[in-house]
Amino acid sequence: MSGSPSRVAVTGVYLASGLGVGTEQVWEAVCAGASALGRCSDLADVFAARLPDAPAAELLIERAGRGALEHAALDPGSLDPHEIGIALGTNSGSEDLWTHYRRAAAAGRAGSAPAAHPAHTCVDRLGAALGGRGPKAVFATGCIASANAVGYAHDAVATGRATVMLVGGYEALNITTVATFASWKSIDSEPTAPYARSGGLNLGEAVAFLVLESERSARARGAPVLAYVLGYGLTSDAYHITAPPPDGSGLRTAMLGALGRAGLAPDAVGYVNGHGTGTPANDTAELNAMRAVFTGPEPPPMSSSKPQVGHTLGACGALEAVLTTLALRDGVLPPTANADGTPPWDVVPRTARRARVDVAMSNSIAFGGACCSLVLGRNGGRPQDRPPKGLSFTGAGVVSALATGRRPFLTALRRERTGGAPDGFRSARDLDGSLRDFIDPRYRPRLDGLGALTVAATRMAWDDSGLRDGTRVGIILATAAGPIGTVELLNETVEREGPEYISAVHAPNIVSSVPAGYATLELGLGGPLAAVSTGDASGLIALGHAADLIRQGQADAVVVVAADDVTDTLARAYGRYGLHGPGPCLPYSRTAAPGPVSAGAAAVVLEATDHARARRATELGTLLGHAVSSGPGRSADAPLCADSWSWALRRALDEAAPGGAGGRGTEAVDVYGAARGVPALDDAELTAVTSCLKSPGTRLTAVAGATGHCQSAGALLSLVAALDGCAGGLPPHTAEPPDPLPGARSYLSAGPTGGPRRALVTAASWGGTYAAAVVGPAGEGP
Amino acid sequence: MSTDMPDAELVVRDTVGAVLNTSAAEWPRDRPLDELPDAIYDSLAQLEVLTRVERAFRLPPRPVEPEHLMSIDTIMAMVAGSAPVRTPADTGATEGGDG
Repeated sequence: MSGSPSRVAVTGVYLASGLGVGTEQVWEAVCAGASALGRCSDLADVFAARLPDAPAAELLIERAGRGALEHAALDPGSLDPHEIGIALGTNSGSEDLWTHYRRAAAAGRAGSAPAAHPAHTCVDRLGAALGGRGPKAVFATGCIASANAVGYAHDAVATGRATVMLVGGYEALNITTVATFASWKSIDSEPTAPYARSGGLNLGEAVAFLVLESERSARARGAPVLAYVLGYGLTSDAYHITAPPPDGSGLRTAMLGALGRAGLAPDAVGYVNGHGTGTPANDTAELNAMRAVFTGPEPPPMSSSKPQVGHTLGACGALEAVLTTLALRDGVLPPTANADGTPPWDVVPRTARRARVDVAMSNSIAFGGACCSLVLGRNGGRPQDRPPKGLSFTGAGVVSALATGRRPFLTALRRERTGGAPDGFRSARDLDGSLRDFIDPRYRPRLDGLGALTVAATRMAWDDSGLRDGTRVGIILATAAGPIGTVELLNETVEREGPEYISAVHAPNIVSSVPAGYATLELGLGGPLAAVSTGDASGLIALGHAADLIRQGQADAVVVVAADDVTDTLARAYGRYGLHGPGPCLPYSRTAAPGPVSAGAAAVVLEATDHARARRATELGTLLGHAVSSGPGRSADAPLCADSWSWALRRALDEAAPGGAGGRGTEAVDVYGAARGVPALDDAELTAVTSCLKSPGTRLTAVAGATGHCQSAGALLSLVAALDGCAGGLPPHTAEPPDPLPGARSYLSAGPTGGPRRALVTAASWGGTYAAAVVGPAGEGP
Repeated sequence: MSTDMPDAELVVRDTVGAVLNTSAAEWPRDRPLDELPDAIYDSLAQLEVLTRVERAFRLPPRPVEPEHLMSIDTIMAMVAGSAPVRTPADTGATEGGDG
């Protein structure tokens, strides 16, 4: 990581929407006041804006990412592969995985060859095509998903973890998505008219990308800078699961926070690209937030592009960030089409307007109460200083088939031995009895399996931490499969009964971040709300995002919760992929022995150390280092890349080493691996670990041997065990399998040593994403 | 077509109970439904009640008007004031019911 913070430039953009394919085509149509909204016979005849001739998601995203790089005149081959990363916002991941799983489950035949597990995310193909090996993350934070991704990418560049981040948003429509909005009676039967008639929304499809690049890099290669990302604000309003508070308080806080981090006052803002969905609830809240932020004599104009491109859900944050960038570039404010009458604000009605603007904002609001505000400018401003800030763990919660609660889990973990994991699979419903004490009974009927796991684990961690005031506490939910139970339920309802039978109460659960929203309602959390859905590495990726948010001052503490349910369809598909079997789970075995797959959740409270100490909290340990990398494997048989995984481990260890890079290598650490009896994964991990940790005192363990495979929750279950190990507790013992992978024996058999130690926790996602965190005893770190 | 109001009230009470996952069978007709214990009768629950009532009585779709969904009384008044109104039994045999 470079020493001084970098200014974050936008050097390329790409747009495809119902208005066309290609940035300038879409931009010209937007400025001309054109609209892509039309009746869609395959979507219950509603008004919507469809992408023309869109290919499958992976290909569309690859084309869009390449398009943005071309616009930036950037050859990814000219960079160190580890300096280029990707972030995407979309809500399509769970539906995509469910489609794969359903197909695999139906095709399963005993004795037939295993099917290939699909990549965890629709951005993995783009990553492989570019050869990038830097950070990779997919956000599923409802309608702020890609604005959230822009914030994450900004941090990656600003802190030097990447030189270039390709960041985008994507969403496509299907009848189930339309049916959910119809169940809330929120679809306008006419073309939407935000800030005017406010009769409802129209949906849309889009893909949009931006190239975020360090200013140093852009200047060095002579690339024109289109705009700068100056800051962002992420909040939750803890008001209602689908509606913002009428006073717009969550958005107001996000906007003021973003401006504060950009070092700007509200009167510096010359234009706001609004969320502007056209629903009465959104428009009321948004206008009140604007009134609260801009109290001066000349409040800035605000416009919404949704009457032209529709509400593109997870894509809208990136799409609108691109439009805001182009407004700054060209000195043209895009209009609000259909804003007839006398709007209550200057919404640039009907046609675009010339206006030189130096600073602009782009706002997004999502189900679950999440709000995100981006600040962009023509000039780079001052880079954000990020002084070292200690980060402590102050609480943890666990839901697993092994035990519920931190202490019972740790006790059970030491008692268990390889082979002791429950056989078969466990869903959230099987664990329901142990969750009841941790969920408000009024909310319980509304939660699906993912929601129940999330809220229960979060409540446990919150209680464990002793925190009482949630105003500046955030939550990040990590999930590999997302709300797969609700995806299945809603799709089957549409298929069997019809779209009009979708339940308005349960439909919000199809958004991955909604369970986190329920947790904010229960606990009154007002800090950042995000959802990371990047496969099994999601929990550790979320941990890094939480660390950034705390270091920036966006929160005093963040609950990082990883949760995944198991449905019958998922379990059968895992069996078909060879990732789930009838016997015990035997990590680091040469012979496949994946064992059970189980629903589970783990939550940790990450808190600024000075904040924790000021309130005399009990510290469970310290976050010392963190890294995310990416890179595809050699083939379908070897889908993970040991070199890229090793790079993440080395980077996290370097960050944690007392002298930075170079201080590593001599220290003995405990490694909590992601191995789970799947040779392709276990072998890649073992190769990565042995390539960078050669100390004879290094111990290797994998909690999956005791818990079974818990998808994204596995890494945070490991983290809970690791924190206890750092405090002197015994690590869980991973018995040596009968036929261990070559090189595993010495790491598995390293004996216990006394006293506090550091631990390295790691995870990987199918599709080539790797994450690692180094934790130590309380009191270590800056 | 007329509505058998005692039957209709049973349907409304069952609908409210199903949406809120609690019994509304004995709930006073005029008492606000958001006072039901261990339940959240917010705008989402009102939407679900309205949609199910529309389906059960074959009412045309209408916007959510909270004042019409406050209590068993106000929901019944909404049903009685809407046309056409048919009980589920009237419609089920000839049109296959509504699931």
